[in-house]
Amino acid sequence: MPAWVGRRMPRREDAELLTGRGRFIGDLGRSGMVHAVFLRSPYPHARIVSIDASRALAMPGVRAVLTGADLPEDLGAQPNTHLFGERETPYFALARERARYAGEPVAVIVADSQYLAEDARDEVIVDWEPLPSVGDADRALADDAPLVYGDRDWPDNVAATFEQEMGDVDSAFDEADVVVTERYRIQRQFGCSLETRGVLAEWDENVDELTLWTSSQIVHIARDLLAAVLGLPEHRIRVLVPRIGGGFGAKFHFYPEETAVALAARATGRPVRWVEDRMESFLATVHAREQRVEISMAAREDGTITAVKGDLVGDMGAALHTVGYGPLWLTAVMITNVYEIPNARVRARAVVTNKTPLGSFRGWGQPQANFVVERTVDRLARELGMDRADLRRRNFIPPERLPRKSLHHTLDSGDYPRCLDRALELLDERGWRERQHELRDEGRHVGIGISFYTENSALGPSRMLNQGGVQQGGYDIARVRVEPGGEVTLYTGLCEMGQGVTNALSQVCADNLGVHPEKIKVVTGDTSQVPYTGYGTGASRGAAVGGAAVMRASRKVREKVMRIAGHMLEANPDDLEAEDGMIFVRGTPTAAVTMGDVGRAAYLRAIELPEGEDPGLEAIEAFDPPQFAWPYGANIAVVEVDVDTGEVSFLDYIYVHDCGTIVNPMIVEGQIMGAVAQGIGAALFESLPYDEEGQPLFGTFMEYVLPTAAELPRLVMEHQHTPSPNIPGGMKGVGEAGTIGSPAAVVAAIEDALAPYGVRINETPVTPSAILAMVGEREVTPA
Amino acid sequence: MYPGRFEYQAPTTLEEALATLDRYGDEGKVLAGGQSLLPLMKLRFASPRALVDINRVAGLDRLAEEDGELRIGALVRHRDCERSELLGGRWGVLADAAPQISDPIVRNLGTVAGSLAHADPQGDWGSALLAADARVVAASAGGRREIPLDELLLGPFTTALEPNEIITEVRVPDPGARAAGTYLKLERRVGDFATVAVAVHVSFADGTVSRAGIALTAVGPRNLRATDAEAALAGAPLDDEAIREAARLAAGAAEPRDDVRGSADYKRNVVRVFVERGLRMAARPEERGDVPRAAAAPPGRPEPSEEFAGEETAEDVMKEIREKEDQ
Repeated sequence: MPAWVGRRMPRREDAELLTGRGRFIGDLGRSGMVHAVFLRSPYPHARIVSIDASRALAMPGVRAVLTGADLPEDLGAQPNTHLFGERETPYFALARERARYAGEPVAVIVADSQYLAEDARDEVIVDWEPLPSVGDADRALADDAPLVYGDRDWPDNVAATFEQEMGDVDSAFDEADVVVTERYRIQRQFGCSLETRGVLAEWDENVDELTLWTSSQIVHIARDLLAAVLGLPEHRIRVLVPRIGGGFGAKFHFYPEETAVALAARATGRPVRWVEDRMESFLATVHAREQRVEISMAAREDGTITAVKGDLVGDMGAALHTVGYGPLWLTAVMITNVYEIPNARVRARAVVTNKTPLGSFRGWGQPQANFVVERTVDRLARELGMDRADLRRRNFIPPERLPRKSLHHTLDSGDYPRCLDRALELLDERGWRERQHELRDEGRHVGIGISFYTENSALGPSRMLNQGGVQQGGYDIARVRVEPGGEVTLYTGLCEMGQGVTNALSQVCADNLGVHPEKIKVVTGDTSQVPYTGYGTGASRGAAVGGAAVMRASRKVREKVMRIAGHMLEANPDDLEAEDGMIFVRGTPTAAVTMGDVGRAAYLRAIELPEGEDPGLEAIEAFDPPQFAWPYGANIAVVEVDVDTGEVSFLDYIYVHDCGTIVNPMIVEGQIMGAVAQGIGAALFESLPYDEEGQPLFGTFMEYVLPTAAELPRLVMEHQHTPSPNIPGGMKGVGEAGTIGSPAAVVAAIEDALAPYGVRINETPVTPSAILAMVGEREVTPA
Repeated sequence: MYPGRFEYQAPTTLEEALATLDRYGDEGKVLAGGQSLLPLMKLRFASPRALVDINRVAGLDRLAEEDGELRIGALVRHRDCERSELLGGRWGVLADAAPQISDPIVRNLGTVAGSLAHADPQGDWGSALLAADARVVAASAGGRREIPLDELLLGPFTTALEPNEIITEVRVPDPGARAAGTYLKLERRVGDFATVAVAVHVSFADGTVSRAGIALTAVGPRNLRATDAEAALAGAPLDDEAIREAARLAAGAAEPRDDVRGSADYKRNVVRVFVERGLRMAARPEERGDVPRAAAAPPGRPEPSEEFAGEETAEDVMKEIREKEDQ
């Protein structure tokens, strides 16, 4: 009987974090530790003629200055593990000969204090030869564009072109009653964490082994990539991840600084720590999202969508980072969303520019796909004179036809119409459609926006990933050990970064082992202790894939617990139950032993073990999902626009979704709220603009506007439950979901509010200034 | 983001502070709240040789009304103004500006006088106090003088202060028995610098405007006075037509530029909208709400009333955490 899965429980780490006792990279110290800072390229594209570090090196307290010229000859380039067929864009721990984006690390300065290191950085003199550069993907595609990889004989700036098609798209468009075509521009955004990145490296010269603490979501991948780059065996590197103050995918990457700080530790013979400062984080941490998309939809007069085609341009920045052009690829293959569209064609071009490399951010390419599809469905509804919700209902893959293959993936299970209908019911219960009319009559501009999403989660089937070009698995491995005293230690390769995964895993373990969750300690973030995880902590896979692995390992241990307890109680193990650390004969709770009794027998009193039973009480089990999981949901935003100032305020926000089995509703709700905040950030606030040459027009939070609680709506949330048919336990995953549908819903609501002006909004973020430019100046509404 | 090397002095009397500052000349900087200066030093945009910390100087934290005048000492924090009952009513423009400055952490430390000395064109006090016709008392080892705010603010981060002068007090004149005003600020998110802000401060006598102060934030090289609009309002009733004309004139006085916060045209329009809204509030002070932020929002916005669907409240969670801690 599940007792703990599904229960609301506060996260065990909250007290530690809220009272400021969490230990992050910036809190770690080692005896003799020194400090590193990076000198970065001020130019979008420039040749390094020479670097003179002599003055810096002469300063007291300065330990070392390493530049690209000081890197070992055989040092590997920073790897890309997502190979989808692309040109190579090699970049190193420190730029060698040329820098291709403003912010690229050029030198690392190591000194006895952070102050001295920064003082010394000012004394490193670089002789730059600026080169022609390009700061925009459209410009990068022009015939006369400066070439980002001209030195590698690229004829253009296209790193890769991906194409996929199903059905007969051209015929469908020829035969369509209605065709709509729209062009969208989605801005750069990034996974901006409360804690910036950081690395602490310590090299033990005696045994030539490296210990590296890093703020990372990929503890094993980081170790393996570091080993590959440094040419060291993996077991000579130990990677540890302390508390992480947010990851959001940006820390799913393996960064040049991780390599450079390791090299600095070897060069100085000292533990070296680097903590990314807030300003450099805007340039040194991967960006995300930026795309231009042209999309066309063909439909019959009755609203049946018959075909979709998309032409995508992804602005990848100056290099394909750890995940290659994965997010762009995902946008492309999700162009049919949850609709039964038989004909689809996509082309996606990954274009390089002189900007910070693009990478992962909660949602990967899915928010972009959802935005362009959902906004275009709205457009089609307007064109057909149909209700937006009706048009969606007509095209949903009906529940009885799931699982169903779409352009690339197979959507697994669920009931899309039921989910949307419930959201609309809530909208009406709260009176918004009626109220909108009343408020409009009063001259106010109130709008309602709807979107529907699905999310590619539980990543993922290892063979499928490998077939697609991913050089990683998608499985997870868990180790569960009952200690001699009966307490439990659970080892996972997943990282706890504030998302609460350790709590969810302990709830799963508690049910399957028969103990109280508080008796379970979860160990994370240490390659010398935790089992390997195929893909790291991301892709909404923790609860689903990690949970299933924990379930298997817990059950395996429980089998042994039952055998030992059965022997002790002289009962058939099949007649036993375990609950809250007690093992008893079903129906006879007085005939019981404790988990501690069993633990002592397993480790200390072999005399109590059944004949032939091995000592020890632990199990290690892997889970590799046979399929992805596909949670889904509806977002409905209700906004009001002040047409005098262009300000947007939320009146309501409805979120109804299905992510399969929910392990801990508090965590799920927190995940959704946080992700919707980032989706609203995309719709209204966040942007990383560059000028035409690739000079960043941002650098602090003055330019990068993160919404605060004051700008965000209170969510009205409801859960539906369709357990995943492919994941033991039925969890589907939820971490990214909120980012996906929210931008489309918010922008649709603004457009609806501004219906009297007939505006079309195909570009985000929608700022007050942009809104006023659309509606024009008018007489001020009297108070 | 660590500052370069600097010397640190912490005098305990004003005389000592002035002497110390005099010694360093233009290589010294006064440290009061530090909310602008320290970030500039961390960014290494500013590298003063010495900081003269005046926080230990007694008597500079006085916020009081004297002879009808409001006096704001050099160490009066934004937070003090936000909480003071002296502001509000006749000095509604100041009361409304205070809580809109940055965030609570900045308001706890930042000072009114420091904000004026910093002369950021996006500063809120500059406009609120210009509208209220304030002046500052500047002291140096050589003596003291009064400087009208309009003459203090010269340009971006530039004032008429000598390097050895400290603003010891801000003085706001008595606006008369019947006065009203407000500060309307448009920010992209709470705590942001203004995209545009407008200070309006009107004194009435015999049913007409006896003096109008209108000042603009973030639309010029310094906080600007909309002098044409002020002049047009003086001596006439504050009716719809006068309000619209003043708003038009004020928009004309703005010198906005395109930036990440919006286009120049956009900002100019917001000046017009806010001056009009502000003057309407000044004309009917009895109708104004308690929360100044609501002034910038559309009237009568419906409040989302439903509780979040979850069962726990924050208090429940914290209670549970505390119980756990106690175990």
